[in-house]
Amino acid sequence: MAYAEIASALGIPVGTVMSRLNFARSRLRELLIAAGEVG
Amino acid sequence: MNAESHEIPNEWLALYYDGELDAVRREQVQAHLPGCEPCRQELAALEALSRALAVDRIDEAALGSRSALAAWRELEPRLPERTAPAPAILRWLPGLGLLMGSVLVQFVGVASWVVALAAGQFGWVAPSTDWLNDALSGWALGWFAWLVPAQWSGWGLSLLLVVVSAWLAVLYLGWLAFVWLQHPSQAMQRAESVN
Repeated sequence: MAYAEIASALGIPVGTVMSRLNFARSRLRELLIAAGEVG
Repeated sequence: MNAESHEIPNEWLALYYDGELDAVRREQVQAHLPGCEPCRQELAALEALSRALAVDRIDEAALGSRSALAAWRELEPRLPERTAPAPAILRWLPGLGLLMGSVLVQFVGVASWVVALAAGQFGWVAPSTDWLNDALSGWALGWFAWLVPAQWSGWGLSLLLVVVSAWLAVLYLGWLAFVWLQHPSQAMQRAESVN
């Protein structure tokens, strides 16, 4: 799904999609590293 | 391209991975990657993350809200126990404590000077002959004022300036560092300002 589609589906700016994705990815990475799923 | 002329912002890599970069920037990233180990590692980490989530390169047609939910349900038990983030007030507590402590120290300094001055005025003790200097050093040094012997009053003013400036600088820098490092919305704003 393109960022623009996510943005219009959620009614938020594309920049917010990017920043939330970045935030979610880094959080997930932390969690998965803690769980030993990702090196 | 080397580290000194690193023209690829970190945020581009996630966009590149998601196929969201325009053609010009995409080519820039492609040209940059072979010579940049950190960027290749970052890209590999993005791929590893997608693999770990088992939603590698999501097929748009296949992705409904149900399959995203199913992916999350599969993933969630594998995540470690989530610790709730500290309430906002707790994150501010050290800075607030510092500020309140300093205010308390100043208050005690001023209050003790007022009491001493009043005691002198009412004749309970010998009135202070150097009340302005006492006031200033009381204000600046708080309850450390008693550490300064009376005969230091010649350079008391410079000492006063140094102490006041140092306190203000420490409080201000500490507050700045605290806000910058601890406040989560700063990280979000930095990410959003990229767009």
